[in-house]
Amino acid sequence: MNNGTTLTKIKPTIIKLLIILFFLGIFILITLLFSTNNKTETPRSQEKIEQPKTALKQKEGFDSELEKITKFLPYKGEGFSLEYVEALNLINAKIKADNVEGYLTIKNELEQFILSKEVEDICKLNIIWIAETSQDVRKSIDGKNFITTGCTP
Amino acid sequence: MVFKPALVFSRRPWRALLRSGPLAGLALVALFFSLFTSIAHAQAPPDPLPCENPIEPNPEILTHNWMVNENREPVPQDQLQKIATKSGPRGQTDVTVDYTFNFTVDFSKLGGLFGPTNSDYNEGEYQQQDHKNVNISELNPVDISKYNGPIQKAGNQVMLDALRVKYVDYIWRNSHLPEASDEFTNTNGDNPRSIYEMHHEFGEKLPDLDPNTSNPTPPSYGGNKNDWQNKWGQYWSKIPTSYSEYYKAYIQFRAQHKAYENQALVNNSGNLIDQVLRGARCPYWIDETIAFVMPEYFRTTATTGQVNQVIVPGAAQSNHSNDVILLNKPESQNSVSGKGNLLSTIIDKCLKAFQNNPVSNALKKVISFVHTNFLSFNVYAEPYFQTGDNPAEDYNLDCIRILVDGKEGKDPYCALPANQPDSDLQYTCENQIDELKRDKNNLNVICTFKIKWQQTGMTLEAGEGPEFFDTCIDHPINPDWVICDVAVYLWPIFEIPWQAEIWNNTLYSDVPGNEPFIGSPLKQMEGRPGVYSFFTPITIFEDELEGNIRKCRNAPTTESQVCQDVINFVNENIDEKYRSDFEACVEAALITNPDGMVLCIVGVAEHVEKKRPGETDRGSVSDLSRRVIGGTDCSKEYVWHNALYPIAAQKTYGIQNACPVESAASSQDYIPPGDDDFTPPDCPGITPASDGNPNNGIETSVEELQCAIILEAGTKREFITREPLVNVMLYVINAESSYNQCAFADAGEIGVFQYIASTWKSTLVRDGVDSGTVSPPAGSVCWGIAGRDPDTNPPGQDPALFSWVQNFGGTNDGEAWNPFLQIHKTAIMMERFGGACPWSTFKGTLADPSPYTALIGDRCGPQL
Repeated sequence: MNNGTTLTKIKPTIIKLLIILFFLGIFILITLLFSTNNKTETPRSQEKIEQPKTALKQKEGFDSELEKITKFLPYKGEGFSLEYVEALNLINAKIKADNVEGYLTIKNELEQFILSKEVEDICKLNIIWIAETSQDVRKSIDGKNFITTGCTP
Repeated sequence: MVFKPALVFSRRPWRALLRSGPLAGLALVALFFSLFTSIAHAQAPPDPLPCENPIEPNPEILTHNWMVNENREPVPQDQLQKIATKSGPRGQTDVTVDYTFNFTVDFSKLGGLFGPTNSDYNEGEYQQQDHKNVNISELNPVDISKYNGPIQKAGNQVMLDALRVKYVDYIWRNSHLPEASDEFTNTNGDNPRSIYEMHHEFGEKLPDLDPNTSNPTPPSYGGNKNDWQNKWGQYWSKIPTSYSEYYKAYIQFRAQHKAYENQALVNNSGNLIDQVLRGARCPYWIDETIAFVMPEYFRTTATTGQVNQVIVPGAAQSNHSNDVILLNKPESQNSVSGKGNLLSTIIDKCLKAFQNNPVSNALKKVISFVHTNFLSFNVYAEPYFQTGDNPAEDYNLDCIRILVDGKEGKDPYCALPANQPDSDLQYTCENQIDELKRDKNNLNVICTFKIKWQQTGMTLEAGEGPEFFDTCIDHPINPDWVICDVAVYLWPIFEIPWQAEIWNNTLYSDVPGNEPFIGSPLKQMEGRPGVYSFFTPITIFEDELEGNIRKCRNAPTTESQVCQDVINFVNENIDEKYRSDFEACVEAALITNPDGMVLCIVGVAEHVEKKRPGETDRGSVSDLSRRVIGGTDCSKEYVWHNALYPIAAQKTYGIQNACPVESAASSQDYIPPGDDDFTPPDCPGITPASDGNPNNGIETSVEELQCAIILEAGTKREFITREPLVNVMLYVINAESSYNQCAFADAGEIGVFQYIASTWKSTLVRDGVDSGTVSPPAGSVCWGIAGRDPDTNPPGQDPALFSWVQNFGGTNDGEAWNPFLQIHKTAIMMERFGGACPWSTFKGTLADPSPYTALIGDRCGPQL
């Protein structure tokens, strides 16, 4: 009788153990499977991550200076916008103005804004100053004023 | 002009002697000794051997022509850009790798590139048998005028007599020349005699210029007039002033291997081929030479030089290269003038040779291949210093030599000579039978050469140095072996004699010691115009179709024959996609607006493929046009602007004193108008400006246009500043229009790059696409709107500022408003020499103040 009682008590325990082992096995399999997939997707360290073809190749120093102002962009106001276009890797400064003086005033203010963000060399940012004006006004703007003040083309 | 065919009597006295029996021996002995007593030495009877015994040119007169495309790559790609493969144990050193290129040349076409056409123009057709047989006494004044070329018209008798004395002397001494057996009739068209026979029958004496000798002397030099007129004088006016000589020319090869890619290396130093393409390295010579024979080019040189002497003021004349006949002294019978007398130099400097390439565009067509990548052929150079075999060379590079299409067609030619400088040169040839082949028995016309490239000391690994391969993969069978590849480029270089001298004589005069660059502002001696500055026939400026169009414009009625000829020509040659437009245009204008019909014709004629003046098809309608150009693809712009305008005027009008060949017969050099088949750029990450409604036409944003420029410019560089083209274009478009595709200004400037509207005028747009209108108030876009172009100015637009009808002449605007097309065209232009100069914002801001001030000022002229 004792043996029978013992067997009766042990049987459910074994069944529980088997169930636990079954789920444990499935868990391990899934874990292994995921880890394998992750390995496959991990890029090889030597592979080059290509920039999109549309990204402008900027000069050295652009990235570090850009980092200082990225969090303030886009910067927009009445008659102007300053924006980093990620797909093209360039900074556009668009200025609406009725005359040359208006354009130059806003441009100067934007330059001061950028310099106030601890930018050390504003020329590195290669900002494209776009005069959204009439053609007459645009033709009256000295070509140098399409370049950041103090920078060379 | 039609020359009367003359009766030709065979006069062969030496043959008569041979046939005359026993006395012949004595006669021959007597003749033999009599020749020794003559002032002139004994000569053999004429025995023409065309193409044989060509003159070995002094290397000084060889001009190198590289076969490259706009990227300096050798073409055809499928023949000259190859991969060499080698397998073996991984890491094995001192491996030899080789590759054998197949290179095919059609020598029947090669002759046409360097044909005799200039000489016939400059001298008249003195070498033609009709010319030698004509009865001059019966020619009317018009025919007499055609009979003589500029040399005879402009030259004085003293000069002509000196040249003819030299000619007679040279022909008599060189019996192998093809023209040695030619016979001339006297002025009445009678008694044909060869030079050899004249010498024999006129006292065994040749004319000279000294009246104190026993030799006959022309009256202009003091000779007895009666004696002269009874003998040599009867034939004298038919004697040419220059002879034809056969010269050897060569094809040699340079090669470069290795295109190992690792951007992390400084200057991509593992990619040696890329360095060549960037102008930073010179490919090395390989030991293979093909020699071929050039007919007629000497005469072209001689005649252009003679005209240069006659018509160009002494102080401004081309240097000694125009004296090739008179300087050819008896003791140097088969040689060119002495060393140091010629203008050209060997161009063995890699990069400069790249630039000096005036005919290689046409050369490409001599080489059998499929025309891939056959677009523009300007070669540019970068301010790199060479790291190749001549590090001490000065590579302060000068003007690009734009490669024009060159003249094509057929002219007299020599097949491949058998005696090659490389006795082990391997080739196979096919024959071709035609009337232009001078050496009729030579079967080697279209030849495929095996050019072997070989590199020793290689290591079977991929790596940076020149001894390593580009890539290696494991061998599929041998576990320790690898299969390695290395790229090899082979550049053929055609070394042509006399080319530079002709350019100098016809276009401008160079100074001794300079490279034979044409139009180089830094090399050219100012105020030394060439022949074509004075004798510039209108056929240089227009082909037959253009000439007829001009005449049609001036015709009293469009029903005139010349207008009908133009219509018929256009109708027969029109591209089918323009036919309906053409017919509708003619029909609409035929009755009510004759002037409009001319515009229809002109608009469509632009699309008709035309024969260019430089082409040398002997069957062409206008024989004159092919005679004018000859060895020179003469520049229209150069002649007008550089030679004929005073320097002060050139500066005032901003005329470039450079690259005259830009405008000669090259479809790609004249950039706008449009009609290119291209698609707008794909710019992921940029929100499209278009709302998807095609009725709104092409809608763009600043960012879309910037994206288009980045994609279009790629890694190219603006030619003058060598700045990345993308930066220059982004700057110029901004300053010109601020990306406003509808921008216009009062000189007719339109669109994002502000092209002058008249540049595109009368050019059809693509099928199914029509131009739009201007903004505002008509709309925010200005191109691609469906429907007809506006017949009048858009509402609210000031006609004084912009007039559609005036600017475009109706519906034809060549897609000038298409912003993407303007970007496309601008990229092509700016990559070329001087191509960015027309943009005032380039000449202005980039030049002042900047590192490029002097450079731009020099290349573009003063800012207006």
